[in-house]
Amino acid sequence: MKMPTLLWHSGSVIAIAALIGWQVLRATSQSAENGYPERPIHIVVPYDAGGGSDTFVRILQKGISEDQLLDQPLVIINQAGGSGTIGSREVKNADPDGYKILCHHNAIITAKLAETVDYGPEAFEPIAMTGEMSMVILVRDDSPIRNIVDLLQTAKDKPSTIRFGANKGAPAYFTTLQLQKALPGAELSIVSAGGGADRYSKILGGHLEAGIFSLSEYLDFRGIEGTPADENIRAIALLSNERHESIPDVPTTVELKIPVVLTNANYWWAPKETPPEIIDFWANVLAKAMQNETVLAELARLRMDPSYERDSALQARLADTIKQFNLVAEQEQSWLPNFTVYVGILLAILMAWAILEAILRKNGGEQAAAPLMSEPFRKRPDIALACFALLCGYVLLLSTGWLPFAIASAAMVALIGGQMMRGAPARWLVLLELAVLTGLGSQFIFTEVFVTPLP
Amino acid sequence: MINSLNLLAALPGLETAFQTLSSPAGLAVVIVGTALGIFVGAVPGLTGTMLIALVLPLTYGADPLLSMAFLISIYVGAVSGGMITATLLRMPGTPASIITTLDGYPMAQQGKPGRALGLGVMASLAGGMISWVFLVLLTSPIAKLSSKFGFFEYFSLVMMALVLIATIGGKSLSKSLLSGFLGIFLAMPGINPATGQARLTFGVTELNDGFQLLPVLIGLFAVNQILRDITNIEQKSKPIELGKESVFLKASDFIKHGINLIRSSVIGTWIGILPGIGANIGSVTAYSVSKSLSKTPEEYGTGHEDGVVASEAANNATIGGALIPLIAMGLPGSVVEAVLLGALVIHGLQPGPRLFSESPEMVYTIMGAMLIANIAMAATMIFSMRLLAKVVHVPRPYLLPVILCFCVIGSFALSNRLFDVWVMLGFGVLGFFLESVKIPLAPFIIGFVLGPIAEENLSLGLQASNGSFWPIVTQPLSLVFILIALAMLLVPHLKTKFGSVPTGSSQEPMK
Repeated sequence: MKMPTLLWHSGSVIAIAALIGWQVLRATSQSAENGYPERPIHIVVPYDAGGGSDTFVRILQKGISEDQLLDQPLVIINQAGGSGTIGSREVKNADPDGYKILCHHNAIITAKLAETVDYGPEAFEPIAMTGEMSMVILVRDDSPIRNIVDLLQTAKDKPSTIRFGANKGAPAYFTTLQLQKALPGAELSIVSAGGGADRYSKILGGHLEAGIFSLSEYLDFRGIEGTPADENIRAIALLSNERHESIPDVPTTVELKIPVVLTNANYWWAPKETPPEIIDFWANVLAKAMQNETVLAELARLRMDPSYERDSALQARLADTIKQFNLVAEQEQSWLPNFTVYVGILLAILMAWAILEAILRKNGGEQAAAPLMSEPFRKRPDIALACFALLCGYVLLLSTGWLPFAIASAAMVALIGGQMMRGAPARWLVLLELAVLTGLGSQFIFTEVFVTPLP
Repeated sequence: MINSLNLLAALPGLETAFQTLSSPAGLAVVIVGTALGIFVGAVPGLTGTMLIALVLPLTYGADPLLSMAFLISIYVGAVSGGMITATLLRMPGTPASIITTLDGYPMAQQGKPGRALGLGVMASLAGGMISWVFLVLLTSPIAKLSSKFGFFEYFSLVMMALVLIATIGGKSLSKSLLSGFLGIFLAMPGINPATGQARLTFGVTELNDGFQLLPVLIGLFAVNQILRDITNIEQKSKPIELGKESVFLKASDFIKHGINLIRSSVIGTWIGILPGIGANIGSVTAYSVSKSLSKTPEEYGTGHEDGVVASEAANNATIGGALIPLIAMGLPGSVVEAVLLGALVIHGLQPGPRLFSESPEMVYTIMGAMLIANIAMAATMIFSMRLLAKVVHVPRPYLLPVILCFCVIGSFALSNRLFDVWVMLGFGVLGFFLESVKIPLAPFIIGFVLGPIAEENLSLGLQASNGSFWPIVTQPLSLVFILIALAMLLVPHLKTKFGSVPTGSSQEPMK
């Protein structure tokens, strides 16, 4: 018992000294800088890591660090969920100091139209538009539908027979509504099938007849030469004014007199009232990044057009896009069964049943099974409650940001551990060392090894 | 020698993959990745997905093949590592190991932690290997199968697993059902997948994304268990000793559990193939099938070896299954696979049906890494088992606060907001309350995971069928699942009703 204890003490003291040394070093190296940016900048991506938006931002991050356009690191934060509104709200409510910036596409407009949130682009300062992705309509290769007019004509002749995949509330859905409007009487069965990969497998399996995809998804999912027609996909229309060089045979919607276009452009947003110098600074950084060779090569590989717009061109584009989506933005009444209500009713019935059963059992005088434990001991709900209160206090403290993460965490570990010692004594010194190690160690791992923010 | 040369010539890219993985750097990357994966898998709050997403930017400059091998190894390690804390502390480290707690923890309490972990490792290895064979031999034919599943087929498949709510957990049917429906209900706030509109958020905008699985899981299991451990802190813990013979399994064990191992691995692989379902559901389904075919279903949940085997074999098997559509068609089954897909793109590859013909060396590296990682996982776990089992002996005042700190970091890191940490604390209290009134938690978490998938697929199916429910029973595959679900629901009840009269299924465990 002696040897391990000694080892633990010496080991932990050395580790703590090293971590404190690292903290001091970091503090001194940081104080030298001045002017924006003086600390890492957070880029919020409102989708999961690995998705299209995330990949795009990571490519730009690569370019920015290659050309050393910023003195400070960029930290990419994935805040997925709620159709991109969790991340957008985070930036909307952030301090307008240029340290938290959002990269988000057209869904920022449609989230308001779908009434997911009550704010749209007007709640932000737009910085620039970087990179545009063309969108296509796909069918299975053995489908009789040859072009967009065929599709809409079929939807008119046999209403609700074409199952069309487009995520409700997202830009593709609004575009689908526009397509339906283009040929009066056409009726598609719009199925709110999730991501591109999901729609692709549903089209292959014959569960959907058509759907909207990005050009890059189409080129990725397209089978190699000689793939049987029922195992491949085919683009019938490009939602654009001009044909795209990578698929020169695919006609555009506009060519066939269906004036519906959709591109997925990536916009950069800062919180409202961010100083114009910072907006300018960022617009310049992005403009330079979009000329970086690695970035251009990667975007070409993704078939993303390296377009760039700022200031008035950007404003005009936004206004135009908003107008387009607004044309079809009427709330469709959902005719689906209201599952929430059914589950709620069932839940209430089950709750009543369980309570009734409990009462009956009590009246019946039925004895509960004897506990397995042989040795009796005193329960300590008081300690558990105290620990839980400390834990809540810790989280509250983190949300105010009064104490640095490392110190707050060390205090939490020490105090909760201390509370627990009332019931099961252990060594104080070991606990203190452990607390400091946990606080400093986790801060080191998360900010140095992985560049990610802590509370 | 000639044969192997022919093989290398016939399969372009195999040689590069082989050289990469057999080089010292390649082996080191896989072993370190697996060990890290086991660690994050075991710590409640940290998950493999999180580590992979965090490591991804660090691999930018590195060799693409080595990077993917590293990420795959983390994935394999993380799915396996969850069972350690699930078994020893009743805190499932990852969602995939929830079902392992049902029998693993009682086994540990009965003084057999080594046996439980040994079985878990063996089952994980077998599950990984069986699904690997499927991955290597049958990738392209199986991948096509996954697209045969339409909305109604998914719905019926999920119903099959959801039936488990009624049969798992405690003795009281009413409490199990109540718990399951509470889980389904609490998964409903947020954006309705079928209409794109927010519901049940009561104006709380943070709820637009609902309650996330990770904080709910950590709350219900880890925080709840920690509060329970603190309440019982004056209890003298029984000395749990790890006997030498218990860790290594005998040949007779493989014979005894052989059928269960193969069946659960096949189920796990198959569930893994279906995009959007994932490892946790693989283990639920395998467990429930194993239970309803068992001669002694009442022993499940009390420390039954078959339960641990079914759960661990299936959750590891889902990895091989999930890699099939990922490699063959570029379809990610879950967030982990989406991140892996993103990694391929960032490293300059084009995922999708063309990956196999354009970058065969990457495909073979992924397959090879999965194989080596599985072996490394089993070796690491077996050799560190003694050390791992000591976790039980660490004084609680040291262990629990540190775990709490990881829980807070993990919940926060999910999407960088403290809201998730509060959700975790809230569900911790809820879990404590539910268990105090003897409502089992397993049905809750099954309902929470499966409810939304069932609802989404049913809603989308209805959108596609213009409101008709008939495809549920007119589509052959869907009908089969519904019938199996009914059988699983009814067979255990019929069995008890007719006393000892054995029914067909219990006599033919092969089925």
